[in-house]
Amino acid sequence: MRTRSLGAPAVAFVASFLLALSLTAAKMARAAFQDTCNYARPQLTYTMTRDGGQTYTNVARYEGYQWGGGCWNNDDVDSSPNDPPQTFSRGEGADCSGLVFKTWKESEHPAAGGRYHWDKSRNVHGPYTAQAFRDGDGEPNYRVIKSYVYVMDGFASSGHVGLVFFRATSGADQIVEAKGEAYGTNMWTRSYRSDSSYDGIGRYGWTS
Amino acid sequence: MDQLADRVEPRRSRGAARWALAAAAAGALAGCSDGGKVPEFLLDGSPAPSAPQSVVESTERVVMTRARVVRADLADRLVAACARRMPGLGRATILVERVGVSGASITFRPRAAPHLRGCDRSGVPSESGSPWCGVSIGKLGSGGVTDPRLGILCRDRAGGNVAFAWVNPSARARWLGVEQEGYVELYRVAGGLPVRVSSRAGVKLESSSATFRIVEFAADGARIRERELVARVAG
Repeated sequence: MRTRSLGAPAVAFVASFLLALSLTAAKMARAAFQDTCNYARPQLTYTMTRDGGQTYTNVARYEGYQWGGGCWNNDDVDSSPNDPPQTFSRGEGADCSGLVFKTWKESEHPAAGGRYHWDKSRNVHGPYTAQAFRDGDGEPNYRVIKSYVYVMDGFASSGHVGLVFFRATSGADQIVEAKGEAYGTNMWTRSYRSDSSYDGIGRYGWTS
Repeated sequence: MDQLADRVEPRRSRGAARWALAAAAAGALAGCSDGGKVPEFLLDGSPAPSAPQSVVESTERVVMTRARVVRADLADRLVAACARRMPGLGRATILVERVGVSGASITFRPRAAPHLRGCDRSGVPSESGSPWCGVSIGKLGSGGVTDPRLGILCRDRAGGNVAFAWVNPSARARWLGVEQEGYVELYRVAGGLPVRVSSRAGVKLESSSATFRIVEFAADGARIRERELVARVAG
């Protein structure tokens, strides 16, 4: 049986096909984490408990950090490590103010004071920066005298905000926060309560 | 970013100027035309300055905003109120004051710090009673601010949200035009700092974002660049 070798055009076609295939695979590998998230409407809820807030932030622990984010899963892994700082790279995680917004079940509309449950996979940040939380901007938010800051209240500076998970006996607090790309979202012992660059913040409407 | 050598302007007494502005406003009102007209007055009630002819020749429906590079005067009510909300604003601080149609702002860089600070207002006080409804801090990199530091908490008198953002002008830009609803708001690049712009158009509360459609003009009025800046609340 005679065999025919592939001519140059065929070889070129196969090479191009393989190249296109590899580029597609590479592109798929770089797909953003936020592509797995959604934009579903929040669920209006009539209860909002502090231990429920702890549970919510506990899920966010060990997940990533994303400037302007966002959304996350629950695999205890930063699914988008090494995101460039202060860049909307659509990776996994919230940023500091986004985590507080979602934990505090707030509305995207600053004048609305209701309670809105945001699923972890819902990509939303909210209208508040750390500075805005610090100033008590928005209907649900207010400033708290630091000595009175309690579990799921928080501390905010001009550039960062975190929530009290529990108050440690040493006088420092266990703070759950989306700290930065190098740190992800986690819990640390912090002395924000005694740090003059931080103010106490709270959210109206806890039901227990 | 191009470091324009803006002359720091002396502060003028506002008392006599207010009457002059009121007279000018009355005169302008007498000449009101039909609806859909380009705004003639800025947020503070003053008449919009004349837009540069070189820009007007290429762009219709332009409203010129006002910008001043001044040394902070803490006796000024508005400056003092900004200083209360945003530390770092001292007597020797050089700041850029801007007044547009829907928003006004103060931008300053404290003591050559690697960041910008600023206050925004839209004519409706904040919940605390401050005339400034928003404050922002922006980290500076080699090309200007690394993030626009979008603010969308300010409301106008009609109840709509007003977005504020810092825009890094290109080196040749002398003016930035921001498309509004039916006109272009023109900002002079000043003080060697990013330009704080405001807009009621393009605000999306659902995504905590705002889209600014920007045109940059050179000194001769030539259009340098057109782009769309999608800014998101962050940090």
